[in-house]
Amino acid sequence: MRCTALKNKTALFLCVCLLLLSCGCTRAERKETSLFAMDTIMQITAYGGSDDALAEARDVIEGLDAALDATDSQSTLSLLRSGDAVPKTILEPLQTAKKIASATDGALDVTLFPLSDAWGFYTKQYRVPPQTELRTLLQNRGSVSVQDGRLVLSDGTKLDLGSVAKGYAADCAAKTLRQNGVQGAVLALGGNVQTVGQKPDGSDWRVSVADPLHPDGTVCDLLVGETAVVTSGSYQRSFTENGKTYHHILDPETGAPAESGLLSVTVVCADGTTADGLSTALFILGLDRGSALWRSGEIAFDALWITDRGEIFVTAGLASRVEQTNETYGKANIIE
Amino acid sequence: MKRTGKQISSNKLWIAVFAAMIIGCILFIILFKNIGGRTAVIYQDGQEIARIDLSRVTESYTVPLDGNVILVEPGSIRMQSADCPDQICVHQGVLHDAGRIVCLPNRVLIEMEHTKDAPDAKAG
Repeated sequence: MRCTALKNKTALFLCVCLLLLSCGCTRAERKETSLFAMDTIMQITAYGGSDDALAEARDVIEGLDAALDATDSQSTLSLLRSGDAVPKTILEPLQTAKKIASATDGALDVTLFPLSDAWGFYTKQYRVPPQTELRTLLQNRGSVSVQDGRLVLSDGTKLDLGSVAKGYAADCAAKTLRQNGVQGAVLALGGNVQTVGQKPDGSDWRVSVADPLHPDGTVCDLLVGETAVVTSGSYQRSFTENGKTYHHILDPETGAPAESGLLSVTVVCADGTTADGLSTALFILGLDRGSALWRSGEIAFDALWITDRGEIFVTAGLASRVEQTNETYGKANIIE
Repeated sequence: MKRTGKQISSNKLWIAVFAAMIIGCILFIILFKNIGGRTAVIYQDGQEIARIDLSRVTESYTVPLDGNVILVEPGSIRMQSADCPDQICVHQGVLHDAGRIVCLPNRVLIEMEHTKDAPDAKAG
C-alpha cells in the first residue's frame, strides 16, 4: 500500500514536471518576412505552420500587387475593358468597395484615378489643380458596375482599387497562412494590420495606433483577437504648397482633400478589405456621419477617431480594448 | 497508518526537487525575457543583411549598402545617408530599443527586434 502510494505521488510529480517542461518547449516557432509591395513595406510574422507558409503568403501579395496596380498600364486591372469577364481578384475587392460606397453615400469612390493623378499623388509630382480642372474631372467621372460577371464601365472611366487593395491582400495572405497550418500571425501591410488566430501564449494581439501628429509615436494600443485594424490619416501622404498642406484622401464631392475635422480614423472589423475601404470612407464622412453609420449597424465594425482638436472618440464595442499610451491626447470619449 | 521516517524524508526530497524546478523556471523567465530588446536587424529587398546587438557595440562603424549607409553606434543605429530624393529615412532619426527606419526607394529596413512587451504591429 505504502509502496503504491509513493509510486502514485512520484508519478504525479513527474507528470507535473513534464507538463511544466512541455509548456516551455511546445511554443510555435516565430517566423518573419518583409517585402516591398503596393508602394509600401509589408511585414508578416507567423507562429507555427509549414515552412512554405510565409513564402506562399508573399507570393499572394506580390501577385495581387501586380494585378491591382492602377498605375501600371499592363496590370490585370488596367487591361480590363468594359464587357470583359471580371476575375475573382478584382471582383471581390470591387464588390466590397461598392458595398461601402452604398452605405456611405458614395464617400468611397473607385473612379477617382484622374483626380488623384491631377494632384500628383501617383507620380509624387505634387500640384494643386485649379478649381476649373477639378470641376471638369468631377463632371467626367464615370460609373462602374458588374453585370452577369462582366464589367460595365462608362467611357473614359478608370478603375482604381487602391482604397481596398492592401486590405484585400491582407485577407488573401491570411487565408493562405491558415491553409498552411499557421496558428497565429500578424500581417502589417504598410499600416494595414491583419491578425490571424491566436498568439502562442493565448494573450490578445497588441496593435498600436500611430500618432497622427508624430507618426513615429503612438496614441494607444488596441488589444484584439483575430481581426483587421486599418488606419486612414491625413498624415500618411501629403505635400505642402504656399504654406498649406494637402493630403491624399480626396472627397468625391469636391475633388479636393477631405476636410472633415479628422486627423485619422482606425477601423477594426473582421474583414480586411472592408476595414481598408471603410477607414477611407469614414475619414471623408467625419465623426458625426461615421458614428451614425456605426449606430445603424449596416456594416459591422468598430472605430477610433482622432479629431483635429486632439480628441479621441471610440465606439463602445472597442472602448474596453483601448490602452492609451500618449498623454497629449485627452481621455477617449465613448460613442454609444 | 503511521508514516516511517524514510517515507517522510523521501516526500520532502521530492517537494524540494519540485520547488527547485519551479524557482529555476521563474528565474529563467525573469532573466531571459528581455533578450533581443537591443538587437537591430537590417534588411534589403526582404533579405536579412545584418543582425547587430547594439548593447555590445563599443565603437561606431558604418554598414554600406547599395544606395544607403547605416551608422551603428554604441546603443543606437540610424541611416547616415541615402541616394534617394526624399531623404525620409535619413530624417527618421535614431533607433535605440524600439521602432524601425524604412527607405522605400532602396527597399531597406532597419528594425529593432521584437520584444515580448512590444506591440505586435502598428496601424497607420
